[in-house]
This record gives sequence, structure tokens and C-alpha cells, in this order.
Amino acid sequence: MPTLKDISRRIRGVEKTQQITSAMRMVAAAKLRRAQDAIIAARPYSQRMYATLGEIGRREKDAEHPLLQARESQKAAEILVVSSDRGLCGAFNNAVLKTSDEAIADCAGRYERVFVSAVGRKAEDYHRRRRSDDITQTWTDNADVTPGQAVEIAEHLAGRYLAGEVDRVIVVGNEYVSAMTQTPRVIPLLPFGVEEEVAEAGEAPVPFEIEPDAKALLDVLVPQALEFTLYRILLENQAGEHAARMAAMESATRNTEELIRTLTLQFNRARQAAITRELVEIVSGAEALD
Amino acid sequence: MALELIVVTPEGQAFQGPVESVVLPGTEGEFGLLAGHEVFMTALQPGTLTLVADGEPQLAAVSKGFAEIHGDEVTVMVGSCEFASDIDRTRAEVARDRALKQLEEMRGTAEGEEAYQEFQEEYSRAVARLNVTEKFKS
Repeated sequence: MPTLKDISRRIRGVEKTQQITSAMRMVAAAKLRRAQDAIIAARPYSQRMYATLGEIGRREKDAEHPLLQARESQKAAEILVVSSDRGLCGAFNNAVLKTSDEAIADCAGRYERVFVSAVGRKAEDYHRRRRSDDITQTWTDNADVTPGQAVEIAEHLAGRYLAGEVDRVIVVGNEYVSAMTQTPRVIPLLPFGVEEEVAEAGEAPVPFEIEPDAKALLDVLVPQALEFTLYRILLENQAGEHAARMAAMESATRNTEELIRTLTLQFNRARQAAITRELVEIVSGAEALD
Repeated sequence: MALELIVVTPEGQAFQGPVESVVLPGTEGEFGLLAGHEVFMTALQPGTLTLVADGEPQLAAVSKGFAEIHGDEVTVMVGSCEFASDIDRTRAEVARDRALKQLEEMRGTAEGEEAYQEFQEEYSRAVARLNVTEKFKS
């Protein structure tokens, strides 16, 4: 039977925890809003980018770019795993890591070698423990997502692809569906697919000039589209992380409330028991005097 | 007749509105656009974007990207677009000097074309930013 002091100490402890979890929840909520704003801000660019790519793809059927070309050889694949740097966000990272293991296993069956690169400390730690020889590069401890980070990652991946070191690049990351749902997804990145995007872009083609020529334009457009695709994946990861943390901290705060209620009940019961006991002692002491 | 200019970057829409004319830094040299221009598409290099709205010229430093001209609508898609009033001159100077130093170092070594090009790009972006503030002041 815990004493009154023990119980009240525990209540104070739980209250402290509650302060932390509810503060974390609020911070995550604020960050989530910022991350969502960034996603919305990127939307016009995204629409234009894919529409333009689609238009050029449709018009210049024979226009080619090395990043668009699929390879026959199946020597090596690279998987970029995108996670968060910090934990305390529910199953957010575990889901991605599990999916990345599956993707790696899947590629291992078809490719001689599977390389891994990682964004976020969780993905780095996880894969470094398991397959440190296959890791090519990691990007961790990033504060807010910037287009510059995406450029760095794009250069690394495109560089390896163009150099023939890998024949395929896949990204595994969380998709931000809503504040309540984040789903891990496997996204083929290279060879860069224009085909799917063409279907999205409607509008009847208008004849127009391309200056200097389609090839030169693709040289600018394709790397830019690749960078942007990665930027969007990073943004989704960021928003998803904060949303997941918000949900995790919300339920943690709820649990502490529950715990405090139970403990308070216990405390009151123990106090009442002590009072009753003392009364009994006093009364029986008085009776003994009579 | 006004020209509708839209400038989008990954971080958001940098500009949208009617303008009288706009000058863009194409890879083949600067070119100006007025309403009713021929439909075309071109790649842009880091440089200065000049637009005239309500008779007032405005300058912005843009990074590489491309432009699409559809009759009376001009869409500029660039990695970044900073208007003259938002540029921090000292920061831009530091960036330029850093890029220049790296360029100089590259020249001596056999690091290869790629790295050189990267810094070249950084350098021209920094210079573009400075040029914009210079013109803005005068």
C-alpha cells in the first residue's frame, strides 16, 4: 500500500510529464501549420511544372534526356529513405523504415546491388545498423526544409544515375494525406517518368516555338523537375512528422489526464482511510479511559 | 492591353499581376516581352528580371529556370526570385566573394567541369543579386 506521500509525489510527476507533452503538442501544431503552408505555396509551381513537362513531352516525342531514359541493365539500384530526425511521433518513422526494408528486399531480388541513402537521423541510424556498407550518403539534422536541400539530394542521385553507378532510384517516404493520416509510399524517381504527368495535364496543344531548342530546354527542365519532386517529398515528410507528433502528444496528454484522475482517486481514498483509522484510534483510546 | 505576368518558385508565387512589359534573362541573351508576343518557351539563366507595372520599373534577381509565353500570359518558373527591396546587400556580397574564391581555387585543381559549373552558377546568382540592388538604388 503506497503512502499518501508516495501518491502525491507520483501525481506531481505525472503532472510534469503532462506539461511537457501538451507543450510538445502545441509546438507540433504550430510547426504543422507552417509545413502545410509550405506545401500549399509549392502548389502553383507544381502544377505549372508538370503541365509544361507534359506539353513538351507530348510535342517533342523524340526529345530525350539521359535522366528520362530507362536502362536495360539491372546492376544496381539506390533507395532513398526519408524519415524525421526526431522520435516521439508515433509510428511515423517505423512505418517508413518497415516499408523501406520491404523495398530493399524487393530490389535485392532484381538487382545485384542495392544502395541506400537516407534523409533524417532515424533512417540513417536504422540502416547504418543493418547495412552500413551500402549507405552512400545521408542528410540529417535539417531544420526547415529548403529547396537547397532538395537540390543537394537531387545532385547526388542524378550524379550517380548519370555516372552509371545505379540503374534505378526509388524513394521511400511518408505521404502527408491529412493531419490524421500519413502513409508510407514507394515512389520511383529515376528514370524520371514524364508519362504519368502527361495524362494529368489537359489542354489542347498550341503550336509554339522553343528557344534555343527542345533539348536545351529539357536540360534545364528535367533536373529542375527532379529537384522539385524531391522538395515536395521533403515537405510532405516534414508536415507528416509534425502531424504524427501532434497526434502522439495529444493521446499522451490524454493518458496523463486519465492517470492523474486515477491517482487522485487513490490519494483521496488513502487519505480517508488514514482519517478513519485515526478516528478509530482516538475513539477506542477514549473508551479505554472510561 | 496588359500582359499578365506570373512568377512561381517552389516556395510560392513570387509575383502575379498585369505588367506593361517584362525583360527576362534567357540563355540566349536578355529579351523583352510585350503583350501579344509570339507563343514560345525558353530556358532562363540566373540574372535580372525587369518588369514595368504602372509605369514603375521593378527589378528582381532570378535563378535558372524557364519561361512560357502564351499570348498575353507569361509564366516564369525559377528556383528563386528576389525583388530588389528584399535583398540584403552585405549578404549578397559575402555570397559573391565566397563563390569567387571557390571558383579561383577550382581553376588550379583538376576537380572537373562539374564542380566548376556549380560554383559558376552560384557566382552568377550572387552577381545577379548585386546588380539588381545596384540598379534599384540609382
